[in-house]
Amino acid sequence: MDETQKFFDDMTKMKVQAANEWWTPDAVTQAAQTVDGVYNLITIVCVIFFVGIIVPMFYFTWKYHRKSEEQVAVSQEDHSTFLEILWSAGPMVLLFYLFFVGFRGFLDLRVEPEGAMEVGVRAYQWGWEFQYSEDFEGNPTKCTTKVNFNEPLYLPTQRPVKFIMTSSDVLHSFYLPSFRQKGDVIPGRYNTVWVEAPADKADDYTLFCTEYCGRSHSQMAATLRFVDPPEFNKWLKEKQKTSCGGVSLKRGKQIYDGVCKTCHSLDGSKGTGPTFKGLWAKEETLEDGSKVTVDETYVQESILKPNAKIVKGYPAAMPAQELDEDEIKSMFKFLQSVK
Amino acid sequence: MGDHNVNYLEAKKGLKSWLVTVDHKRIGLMYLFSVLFFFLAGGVFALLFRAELLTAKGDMVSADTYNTFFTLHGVIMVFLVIIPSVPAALGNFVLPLQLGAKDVAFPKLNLLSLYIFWIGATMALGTIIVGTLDPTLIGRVDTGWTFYTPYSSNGGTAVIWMTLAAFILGFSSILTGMNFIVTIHRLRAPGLTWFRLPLFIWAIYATSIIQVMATPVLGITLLLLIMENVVGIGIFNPNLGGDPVLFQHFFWFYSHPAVYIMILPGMAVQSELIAVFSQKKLFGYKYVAFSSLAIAIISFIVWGHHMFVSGQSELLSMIFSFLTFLVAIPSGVKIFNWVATMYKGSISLKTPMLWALNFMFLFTIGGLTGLHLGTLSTDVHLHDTYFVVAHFHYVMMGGTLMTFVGGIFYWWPKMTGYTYNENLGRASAIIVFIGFNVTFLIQFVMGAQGMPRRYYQYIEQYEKFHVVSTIGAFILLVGFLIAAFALVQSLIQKNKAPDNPWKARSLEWTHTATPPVEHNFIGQPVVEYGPYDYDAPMVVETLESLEAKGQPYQFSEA
Ligand code: HEC
Ligand SMILES: [Cu+2]
Ligand SMILES: [Cu+2]
Repeated sequence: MDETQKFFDDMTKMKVQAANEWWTPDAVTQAAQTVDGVYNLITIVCVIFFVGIIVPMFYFTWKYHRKSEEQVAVSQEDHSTFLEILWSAGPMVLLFYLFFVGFRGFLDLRVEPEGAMEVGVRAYQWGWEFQYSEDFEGNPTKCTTKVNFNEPLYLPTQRPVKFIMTSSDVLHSFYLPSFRQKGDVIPGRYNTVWVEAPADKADDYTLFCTEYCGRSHSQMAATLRFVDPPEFNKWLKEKQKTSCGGVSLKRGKQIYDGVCKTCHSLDGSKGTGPTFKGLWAKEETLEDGSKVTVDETYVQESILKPNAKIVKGYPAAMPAQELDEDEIKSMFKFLQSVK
Repeated sequence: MGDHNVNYLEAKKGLKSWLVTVDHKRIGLMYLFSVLFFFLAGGVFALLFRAELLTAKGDMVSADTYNTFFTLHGVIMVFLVIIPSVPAALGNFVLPLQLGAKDVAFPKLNLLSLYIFWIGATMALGTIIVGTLDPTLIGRVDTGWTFYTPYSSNGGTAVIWMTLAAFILGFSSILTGMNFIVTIHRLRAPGLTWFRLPLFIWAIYATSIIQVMATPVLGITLLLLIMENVVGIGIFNPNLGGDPVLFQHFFWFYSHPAVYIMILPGMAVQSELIAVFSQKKLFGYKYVAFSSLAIAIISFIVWGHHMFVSGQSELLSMIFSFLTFLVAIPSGVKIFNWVATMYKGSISLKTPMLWALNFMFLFTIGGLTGLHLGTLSTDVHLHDTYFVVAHFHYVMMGGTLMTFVGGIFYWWPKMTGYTYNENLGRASAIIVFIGFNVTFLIQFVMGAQGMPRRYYQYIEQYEKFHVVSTIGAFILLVGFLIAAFALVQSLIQKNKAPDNPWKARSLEWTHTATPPVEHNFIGQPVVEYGPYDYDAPMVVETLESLEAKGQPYQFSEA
């Protein structure tokens, strides 16, 4: 699994751009700047209240410190309706204001502008797959073009992008710190998040998973590469060649690298699942002791309904994969090639 | 039968006398030592994963082991330490004494809750151990303490066992809660009116109400989980047509009130410590008392603030955010009143007071940073990052745990009859204060920078922050070890404690010996003044003593 290890190690080199590393990361969008404004405002309010509480506390401890055992309290004043009203109603007004600006900023984050480009996001244990169905101008792609997170995921600047997200297995969460955006990715449901990078903010941004999803939860970091529209279109055209290219070994390899690699090795070592080395045409022993030959039917079933037959000595830990016919056939080619 | 005038520790001897006791004081002590044991276990897991987090790459243990560590830390600290800490351990010991009662209303039920607690705890630990040693049997316990579906329903039956354990533990707290509610209503000493109750009692009363009302929801959730896993009815699992987000609603409908089950008792102790060590009437008594009840009620309608990014409707999020801001007010009112109590007091900086000042400092930070999270737009960025981790440690550990330890140091002489080394006690409070801030203050920065929680590996950019945090965790270890040493040393040195070392006015200090006699009081104490009337002349009368003087007790409001 050395290649996988390198992939994980490389991840630790990713960046969340932050000119000030003691505060929030650099804000890419207007909405993100608004969030920062609220963040700063709340922090100022916190500091004021904190000082207002803690300074008197320390002052009283010093000023009214008991110097002799007999010393009694100077006063036994024990209530003041005026103060109680002041310190309940005063903060209340302030809190309503914070609530209000927070809600306004929240609507900005949630409601996307007209004409956003829609990008499908499928999260799985453990990775991301982006599904493109239109280019920058809105022309449909030849087929739903799937790109996996083991390479940078391209997106255009200067157009709002709306991510329509769902999960193949458990909960995940789609988090873009630089955009102050986040949305849970839920199996059986769609949730959305939108962003828009201005022309001068073309750069690589890091995507994290922020809903705990098991072993490689922390290793779902991906790079979103925002580029000029022409460059994006060019990249997408390139991607369509492999993605919409029918059945090929190259496509099989691509799917392996993106999806299967975290669990299946090519060098014979045991991962979460059995190695792919020498798998094709092999006689496999199943959990109940019966035997089965690894052929097209078996592999197809293993991919689409992994829990129908469980390999002996392994947990039923493989999530069902959503591959279409061409993709599965490409996978056959790939498996046959791994000797 | 032992001699009734002998102290409760010596009245009966032998292990069996402890295991079958119905004495609330002994039950309280057994809770206390169980909780301290679990605190040690939970702390060790925290140190282990903090050590792993020293470097950005995952290198010390495997990802699975790391995930087990943080899950165990969370489960143990929440269900076996913080929830039972003040109510079950200190509450059991102190509550009947403060009420002037011989025991709780249902002493046998009280012993039963202790046994149920032990059963639940054993089951939780058993699941953990079996799950870790052989994950193929029941699956690992690696879901985090929140057990979110469908991840938790895929891994095996471990989560069922864990929820069952949590539910059994919940039963124990329901029984304790009911017991306390009845005791407070029925067994107050003559003259101990509602507004003469120590604020400790008020807050425990509010806590008990939440325990009795919220914990059954956890039971329902468990039943649904079992129905799904065993019978195959789709409730939370999308593959069966269920809805995973529904689980979060159920979970937080219990667990948000549970947050207040955890913090109200901390506030309970805080009120006692601040008043006694300032020798001053607690400022705004009624406001502090009623704020506990207000918190208890509002806590039931804010659970959705954990789900702002879960795809929940914007309208719902708006309502939950609004209600969350409301619940901030009563907590704020308490803090202001505590500070006002210190004004013109006679402040003694003994060990318990230092822990109380720790609470004030840390809980204020915890509470205020809650504003960042209750505010909708900023929560989208901060949700599930280290900012949240820092926030709830400031509230739960900086809040409840500080006063729990403060309370132990406060009532230790009463419990054991011995005084501890004041310098060691103070040193522990100060070192814990430093360690705490080193560990967690930096986590706010990490969270603001986008560091997600429950990460085994992270980007190198965050490494320096993690190093600081890990160093802090080991400073904390030193602080708590010193505290433990001070307490253990007191048991060895056996320096007799005076009956009322803190000049307190509540019954456990004024009307009984240190340590108390087996049935708490000789005669029935009567109460002539409020719990914090340090200026009133001390009256130590019982029904019997007044009778003997020929002035039978008559209630007067004065
Ligand atoms: C989360 C880990 C995981 C991922 C990702 C994963 N698998 Fe699996 N896979 C397993 C496990 C565990 C088994 C063995 C248990 C079983 O038979 O279901 C397995 C079994 C298999 C088998 C049967 C192997 C044998 O020895 O008979 C095939 C074929 C297979 N997987 C193909 C794939 C393909 C193709 C992909 C990528 C599209 C993939 N898997 C992705 C975990 C995974
Ligand atoms: Cu994840
Ligand atoms: Cu909550």
